[in-house]
Amino acid sequence: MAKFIIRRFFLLVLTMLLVSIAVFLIVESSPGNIAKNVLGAFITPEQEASFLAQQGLDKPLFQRYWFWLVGSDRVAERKCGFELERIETESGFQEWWAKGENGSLMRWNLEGEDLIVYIRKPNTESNSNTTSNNKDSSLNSNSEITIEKRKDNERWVKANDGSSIFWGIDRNNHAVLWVKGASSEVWNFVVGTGWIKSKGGPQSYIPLKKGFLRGDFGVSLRTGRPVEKSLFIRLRNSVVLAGIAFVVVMPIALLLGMVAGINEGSFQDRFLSIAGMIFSVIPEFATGIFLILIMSHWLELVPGASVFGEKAPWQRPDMLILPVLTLTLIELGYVLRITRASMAEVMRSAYIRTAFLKGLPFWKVIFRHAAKNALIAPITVIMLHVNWLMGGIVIVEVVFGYPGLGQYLLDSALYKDVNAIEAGTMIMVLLAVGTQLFADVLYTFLNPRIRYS
Amino acid sequence: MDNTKSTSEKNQNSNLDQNIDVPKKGKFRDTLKILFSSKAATIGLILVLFWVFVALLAPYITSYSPMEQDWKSPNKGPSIAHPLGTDELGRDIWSRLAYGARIVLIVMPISEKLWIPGGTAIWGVIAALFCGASLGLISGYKGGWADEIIMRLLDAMMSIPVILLYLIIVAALGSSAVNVVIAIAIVGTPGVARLVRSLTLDIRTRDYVRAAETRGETLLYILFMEILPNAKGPIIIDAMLRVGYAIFAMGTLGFLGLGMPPPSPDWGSMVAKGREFILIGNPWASLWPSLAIASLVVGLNLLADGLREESMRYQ
Repeated sequence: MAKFIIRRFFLLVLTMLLVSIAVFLIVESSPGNIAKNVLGAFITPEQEASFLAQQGLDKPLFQRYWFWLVGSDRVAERKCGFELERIETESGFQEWWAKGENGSLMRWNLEGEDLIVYIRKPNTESNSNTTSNNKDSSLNSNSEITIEKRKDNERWVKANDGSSIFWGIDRNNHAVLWVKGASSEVWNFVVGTGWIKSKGGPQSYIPLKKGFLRGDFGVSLRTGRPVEKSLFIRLRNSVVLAGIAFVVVMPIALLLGMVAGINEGSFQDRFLSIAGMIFSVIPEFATGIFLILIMSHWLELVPGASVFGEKAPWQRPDMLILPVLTLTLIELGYVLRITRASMAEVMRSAYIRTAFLKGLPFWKVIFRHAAKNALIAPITVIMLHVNWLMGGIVIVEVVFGYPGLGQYLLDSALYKDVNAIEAGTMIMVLLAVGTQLFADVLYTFLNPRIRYS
Repeated sequence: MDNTKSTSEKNQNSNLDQNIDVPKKGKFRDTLKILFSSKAATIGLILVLFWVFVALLAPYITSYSPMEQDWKSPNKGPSIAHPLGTDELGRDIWSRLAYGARIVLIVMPISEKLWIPGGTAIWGVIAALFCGASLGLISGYKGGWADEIIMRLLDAMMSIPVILLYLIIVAALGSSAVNVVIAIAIVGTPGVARLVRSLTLDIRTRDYVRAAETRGETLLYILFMEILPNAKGPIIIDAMLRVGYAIFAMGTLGFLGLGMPPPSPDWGSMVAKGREFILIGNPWASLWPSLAIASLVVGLNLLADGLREESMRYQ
């Protein structure tokens, strides 16, 4: 058993690795241009090149994958010779700083030919930790933290060809290579201001990240925020939707499935099976549209969309009704059919006939003898079905505008936002494969006849 | 309760009797017999045939081209001029539905100029069948490490949520009929491979395979001429279900904006577009394509289901 679990766990890791590589390759080889998606269609080639360099997208594919997987801070530390540290500011930004000789945190900027260092110091001696109280949200006018700014030209290092270079950390979370007096142009897009062109910019960028394996999903190119900030809210919303649907579907489906299975071949059975099948094969968006039109457009009973804004889904339960109903109709048929088949098989078995023959009451036979054995298969198959349920949830989220993981993934995929796609994909694969593993383990406990060797 | 049970049993028995009494008059006749003995399968067949005929006769049963815009009457409900109403650009919904059925079932647009016969969904299933059958045959016949590698890879693929595969493949490749076919094929391959593998494992022990091996036939001959034809029954029923999935997938992709490029009449994208105009009072533009896709998918499933059940009973 332990061996089986280890083997399956290894397979899970392998699957995730393969999927992450495949996603990287596919997103890479696909048409479309992330720079144009982010910055608009009218950027010049120089602006595009500058943007790609700053995002580290000009690097070779394997290097980008490696940085995504295990992070780039080690490489950057080796280049610039400082220890790097990621901190979270009070306003929720993630910032990378270099740790100086005396423990101070430093970042640099190039103004003309002068290197300017920014040193981040806590104001009070007692509170030396950088992430401190949240009295003031503004970064620079913070009462706890002062940013000291001064010239720092001693840092320049003479390179082999005689120019002065310096590897440091800039103020946008990159490890960068500055060359004194270099004439390359840098384009920076500042929201609200537009393009800012500056000379003597960095020659090379390494965007700093900790890497997926160390729990850093990277920064979404679409929003400019860390992926995990949006992702986990979306995941929570999706889990709420799936959870409610699950709680609604299961009792109904198991009950109806048992009813159909008890009287195999009867009118109820045929009706339930065919109705269940019809609902489960109609595409989710069609079911959703029917429900919106009937319940919301013609009968005007419930809202036809799930737009929550800043609210959590459970604060507007009326908006959850239609998405849950759609999922219910789709899932009902599937679980019903499995339960029915399992129940029908049990009802044909010898021990049920024996139980009837020895005169036990009908319902006692059903619940004490039949249901117990008939529900093993459905419960585990339902677990395996998470895969399918996810597909349903993605479509239902799009139909109703529900702010869930599926919608997020769709937007990211259309945008070529590779970090967001990778993060969403990994979570979905983990959930799908994890539940399958769980189902297998559960099955061995429910059905002792199964042994994995 | 007992009454219904006994009558249905009687029906079953009479069906059995009829089937047994029928003298063998060719396979096609048998299939039809099986079909019409099940009410569900008959309804399924009617639905499917309806859409096949609509797709075949699209130019003759519509009075507008699917792209023709009537700018004087956008977003109108059903009327005499437009039997199912018009969409937001004043295009006739019935024409778009009929030509949409063509894309699904009859022709596949490779580029603007080049259309090949065989619907997009059909090609998707054919591609999935080809890839899946090849992998399954090799895996089942060869066994050993080839089997292990292929099946582990397919297991890994199967464990990925289907929607994720669709999203990533089509969003990455861009939206066109060929890419939809690729997506359907990739998603369908593991399932077909598993089925074919299990059939192959059974068939490869038969005498005629041994005979072919002894004759010194090539591997390809044994796989595709000896084993595959003998596994075709279950594969055909599986393929029919798969056409249903493929239409489902096409609709879903179209709905997500990943289907055919815009002006072409794609059912899924018609729903997505029509959905935006429910609020301003035109439910028809989203209702009809939803109904169309639902009826076709349900029809195919009823047909495949009925066929499988009846053929099992027949055997």
